[in-house]
Amino acid sequence: MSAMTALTAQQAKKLLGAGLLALLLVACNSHTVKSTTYTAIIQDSQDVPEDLLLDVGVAVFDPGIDEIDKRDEETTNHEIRVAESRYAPFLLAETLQRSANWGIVRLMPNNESPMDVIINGTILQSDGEAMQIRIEVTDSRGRQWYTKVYSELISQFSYEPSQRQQADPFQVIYNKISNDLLEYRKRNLTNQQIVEIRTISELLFARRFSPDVFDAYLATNRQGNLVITSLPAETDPVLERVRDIRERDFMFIDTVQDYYATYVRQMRLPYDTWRALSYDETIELRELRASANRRFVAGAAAVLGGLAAATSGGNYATQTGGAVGVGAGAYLIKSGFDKRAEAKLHSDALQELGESLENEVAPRVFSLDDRTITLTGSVEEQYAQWKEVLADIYASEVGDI
Amino acid sequence: MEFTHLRNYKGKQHLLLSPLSRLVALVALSLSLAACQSSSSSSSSSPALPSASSSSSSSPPSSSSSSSSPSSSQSSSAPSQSQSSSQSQGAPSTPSSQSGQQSSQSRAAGSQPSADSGSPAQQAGQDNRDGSSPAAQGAQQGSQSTASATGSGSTPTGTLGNSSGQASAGSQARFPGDESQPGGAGRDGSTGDLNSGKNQSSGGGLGRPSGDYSLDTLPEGVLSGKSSGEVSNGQASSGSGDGAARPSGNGAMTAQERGQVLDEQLRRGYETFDGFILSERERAQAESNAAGSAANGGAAGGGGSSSSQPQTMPESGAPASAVLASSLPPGAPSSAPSETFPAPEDIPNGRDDDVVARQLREAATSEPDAQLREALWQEYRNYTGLGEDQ
Repeated sequence: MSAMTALTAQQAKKLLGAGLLALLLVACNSHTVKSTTYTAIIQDSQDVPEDLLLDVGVAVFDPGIDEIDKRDEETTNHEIRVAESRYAPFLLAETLQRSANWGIVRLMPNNESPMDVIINGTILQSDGEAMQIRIEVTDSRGRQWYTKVYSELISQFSYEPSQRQQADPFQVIYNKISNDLLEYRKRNLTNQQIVEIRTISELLFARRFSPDVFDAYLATNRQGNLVITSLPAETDPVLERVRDIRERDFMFIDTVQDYYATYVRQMRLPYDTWRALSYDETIELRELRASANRRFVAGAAAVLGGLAAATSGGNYATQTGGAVGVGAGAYLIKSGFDKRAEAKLHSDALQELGESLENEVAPRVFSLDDRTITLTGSVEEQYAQWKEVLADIYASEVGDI
Repeated sequence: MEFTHLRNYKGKQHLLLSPLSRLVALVALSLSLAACQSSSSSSSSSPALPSASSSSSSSPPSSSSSSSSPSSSQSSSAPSQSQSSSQSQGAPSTPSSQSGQQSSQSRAAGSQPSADSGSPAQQAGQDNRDGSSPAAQGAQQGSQSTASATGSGSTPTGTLGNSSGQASAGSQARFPGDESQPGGAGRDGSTGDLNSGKNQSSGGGLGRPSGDYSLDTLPEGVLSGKSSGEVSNGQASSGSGDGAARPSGNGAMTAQERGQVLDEQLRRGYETFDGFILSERERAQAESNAAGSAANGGAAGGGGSSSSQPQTMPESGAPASAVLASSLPPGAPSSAPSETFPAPEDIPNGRDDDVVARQLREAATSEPDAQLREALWQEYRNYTGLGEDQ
């Protein structure tokens, strides 16, 4: 009798252990650590002369639609990604300009205008809670500085109006990029190299307008990078004309900045609202999904344990305990399904939010692109004319005619 | 000064002795026509401008007729230049220098009105010049015929007939010019230059590329409008300079002139571009500010408004102010008629309003939001003391 009682107690302990494990699994929530430390923009302590400041061109980001995870696909709106791909680089350009570590920093409408440093980016994730961007930096020589993925998880606190007044919720990412750029420049570039980069930018621009004259000044080395073979005279009249044109090219780029500024201002409010709502929905969705998964696992474990206890149980109590375990497991599995259904609701809500914002921003993106393309076309047409006139002037000067 | 005197004198002569001089001119013309084997078609082609000019340019021995073209083209921009160039031409033969002066006279009289009109008219004006220079060449033959040439050249319509007719006469007058072969050859090309359009290529085909290259390749927008005349002017002078440069070795100077003309085109392009870009920037900044204020006010606003319609680059020849005006969107505040709302009954007619009150009244009457409008009227009442009176 005592042996039987001991056996029953052992089995009861096992059953209890299985139940506790299942409960633990259910109770275990996934905790995400969110850093609240704010990375400020670092400003170069040295007083850099103006002619040693590199001009930075930030290209419109790749929306990264091809790189969206299957899991995120149903909650990611492509139009919003496209809108973000014009929004985020403008904020990055603003941040870099504010850092005062660079010359002019502009969001580039195209790749035609050579800049000293070129930043390309791809948005890998953006859902209001997290943002992930891959950044590639090259210079006018064609040399790649680095490629790095920046990611940031923000807290609900970032969407507080008081915080939002100060900066974008993901401003930290832009600050980090800015700081890394500065770090790279300080560590890897000498003043001579900076001058070289600036000169190559100018020669590239000059070559675009007067290839006959400026082709000879640049060559490509074994690494595929541009090098200067010789320099035109500072008083070269063609170079002076090209500089005049370049001033106008900057004016054109500045005008495009105004377009983007308008766009960003128009987009800010609906985009922030979407991000704040998306933040809540995304967290809910993620937790529900995780909870559903845990319930499925725990339920399955409880069912299996219960079945084992029920089948191998030597007495009534064990069998009864096993049956209870199976029942609890089934309940857990059912609740897992419920959670999944709840998650689906949040997923739908996210989609609706996305569609709502899409309706708001898609026309703006279209308008922005339309204006940019039209202006670019007009400017390119004028450039083509100047190019011809410069060719005529050159031909006239060298006596071709 | 001689120039002016001569013109005045000939003008008077023309007034006093016009019937006689015309008669003499006709006789001289017929004589010259008879002497010229290939001139009959050109003399009768007064209304047809292209044929007239082509006849002068395509006639192989047109070297001497083109000898006046440098002076003519230069004098159109600066009379003193025309004098100096005609003097330089006068070195081989005195009559040719006279022809230079006369050609510039006829151009000054005949081509001025056409140059004031648009670009097509300017083309015609150029052709007038082309025609007038050989006309003056023909005038070398005698002072009487010269007088008739200049006199008829003063009427724009008559210029064509006279010029073409005298282009043939010019072919006679070239014979003395042909004595200096190299210079003549050079001038041939410049004649082609002066005759714009296809004639340029024909002129260029005569012996050398001349200045046609840059004109043909210059962008359409650059050549359009007023600039086209100036380009062709400059080119004509430079082209003729080229011709003259070969024997005399002044090629660098010609290139410089050409460079100046092209630089001028660049500069004009800059001005147009600057005007365009600045107006576009102004508009974009205004929109950005409006968007900022709307965002601050909590209004998201709708996308794709009419004010965000893109504007296009104007033609290079068009003035910047025209760009600004034409580029304004239809819904722009400046052009949009603002809706007004009637004032409340207690508001007087406002005849005695000062500036501030008037502004308040204006703002209130044009405010579509009823609450804001009422607030503005209240402000108006407070300012004008209406509230206290009541």
